[in-house]
Amino acid sequence: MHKLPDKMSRGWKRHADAFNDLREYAGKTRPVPAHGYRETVNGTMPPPLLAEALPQFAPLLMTGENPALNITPGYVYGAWHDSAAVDSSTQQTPAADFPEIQAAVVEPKISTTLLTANPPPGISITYPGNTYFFLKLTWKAYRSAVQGSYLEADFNLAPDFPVNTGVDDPDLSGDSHTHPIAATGVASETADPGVQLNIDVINYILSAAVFISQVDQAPPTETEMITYIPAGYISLDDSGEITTFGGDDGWRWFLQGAITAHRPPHFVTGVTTGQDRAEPIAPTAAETYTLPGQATDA
Amino acid sequence: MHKLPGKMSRGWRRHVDAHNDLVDYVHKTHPIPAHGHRETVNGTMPPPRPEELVMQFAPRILAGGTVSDPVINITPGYVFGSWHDGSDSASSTTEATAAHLPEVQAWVFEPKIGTTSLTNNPPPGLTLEIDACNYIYLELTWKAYRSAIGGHDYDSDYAFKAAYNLQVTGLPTETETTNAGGGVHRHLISAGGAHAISDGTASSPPEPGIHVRVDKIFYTLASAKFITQTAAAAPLETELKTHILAGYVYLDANGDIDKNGEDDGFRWFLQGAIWATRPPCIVSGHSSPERDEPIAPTAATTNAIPGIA
Repeated sequence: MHKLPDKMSRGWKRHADAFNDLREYAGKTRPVPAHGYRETVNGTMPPPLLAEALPQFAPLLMTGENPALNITPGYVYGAWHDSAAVDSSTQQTPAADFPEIQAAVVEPKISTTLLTANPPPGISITYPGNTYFFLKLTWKAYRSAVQGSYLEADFNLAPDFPVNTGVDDPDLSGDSHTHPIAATGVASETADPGVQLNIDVINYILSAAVFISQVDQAPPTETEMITYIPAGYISLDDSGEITTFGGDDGWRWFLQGAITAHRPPHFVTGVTTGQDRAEPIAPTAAETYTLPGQATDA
Repeated sequence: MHKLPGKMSRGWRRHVDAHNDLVDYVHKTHPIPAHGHRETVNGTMPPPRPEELVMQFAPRILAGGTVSDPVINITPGYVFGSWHDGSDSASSTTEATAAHLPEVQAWVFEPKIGTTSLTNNPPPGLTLEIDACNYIYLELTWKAYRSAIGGHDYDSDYAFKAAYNLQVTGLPTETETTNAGGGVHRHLISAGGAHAISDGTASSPPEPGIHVRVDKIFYTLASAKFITQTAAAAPLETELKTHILAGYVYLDANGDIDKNGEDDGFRWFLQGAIWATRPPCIVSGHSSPERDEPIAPTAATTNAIPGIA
């Protein structure tokens, strides 16, 4: 620590007093070299500014003439399996009832550029009007027979045998008579026997994530392999500035922190021929949803 | 950058030396205008503090001896859960339009306190009880959508078609011999022995073979709201009502946050957006099963809460 000069105790009193006052002021107002402040021979160096800690997927919005949205890097967790295919119709060779990784990590992109790229990618915003941002998730699927082969069923069946013959035999006795039939038979198994239910489970794994924007309020229609997460929306006026529309908010952002993406498994028939419809049925368009902050259907 | 006064080279030596020492000291200790620090005519201005970062679902507790009605506010946040237009408030209904996947896998919902959204101005608050531990939960209300799966036609709907390999044994090969007055004779049954069972031809049910009717119930999120209770036991869930423990706070008789015996007095678990899922349930597709499924959840009795022994 630099040493404060000594007080003047002698000399011309007027000057000595002025000096001592200034000396005391300088001692009291110097930056204390603590909390990252560091003394050098050329002054006290303040600590570097800490990088602002932003949560994952924080929006960085630039309004005005060329409005654009940047999104801080973040990650999406989803299941992973090497053998997953781009559709669920493929019968995978290796049986797998669980993914290889229950929560693998995927970094989203804007278009084809990762959020961590330097410079970061941005989404251009058209104005005036509303823009809705979605995180588009692309899934893959792998298909595996439940129980390794078939679900074997218990059964309790009995054939309905005729109890008596009813034979009119006039050639022998002239009498109508019946012949009893012995004990009722039973249904039983033969080799590779029984009743078997062939069921496949389709497990979904996360393949990719990309941010998109659209001017329609209605969410994009999903498919078996494409889903969308609403990330936020913005309404810009003629100047490219945020404005409300009607009674609705002009700006909301929903994402914060890492995303846990989950697509529950689906059970389908394991019979490969003779199906009367393909399953799972593709999703239909949502019509009665409500976005937070928006009461009207824009 | 402000210019440091020059050193004295002339004058009374005692004053010159003192002045020059002070100049050296001031030079060595002056704040360097770097890393956001900025010199002004009134001093060196440090950089502005970054705007306070408020995470979703951060708690704001207003309590203490001078507060008559302690309350907790929660900063706005969002819950993501599935959405489907036709979802019903009970899982027993088979929807007219079949669906196996929700229309939106992860739609966004804003929780409420009471009937007021967290983004409301003024924000809603949950009233806290003093001299008690207040457990705050996020209550999720689900809807259900039920539809047949299987892919094979069956009785105007769909079912799984089972393979089978069955045979009938014990079939009589002949009638017993009987003397009916006209002499001993027997009637042969040509198709005796064992026979495989094949698809039937009965008109009802219409499809031959063995079919297993299975329904898939998938769940979609309907609403989310924060609630509070003083009971330590988690609320009893139902098929369509689940609860996420958000945190707890113990207020003493004065309304101050305090430890509750060995237990912590305050913990908060939520931070950031919430991803809610309710896995689908597979149930019988028959209309009159011997029990209702899924079985309703029972009360949890062995779950631990962080910070509470």
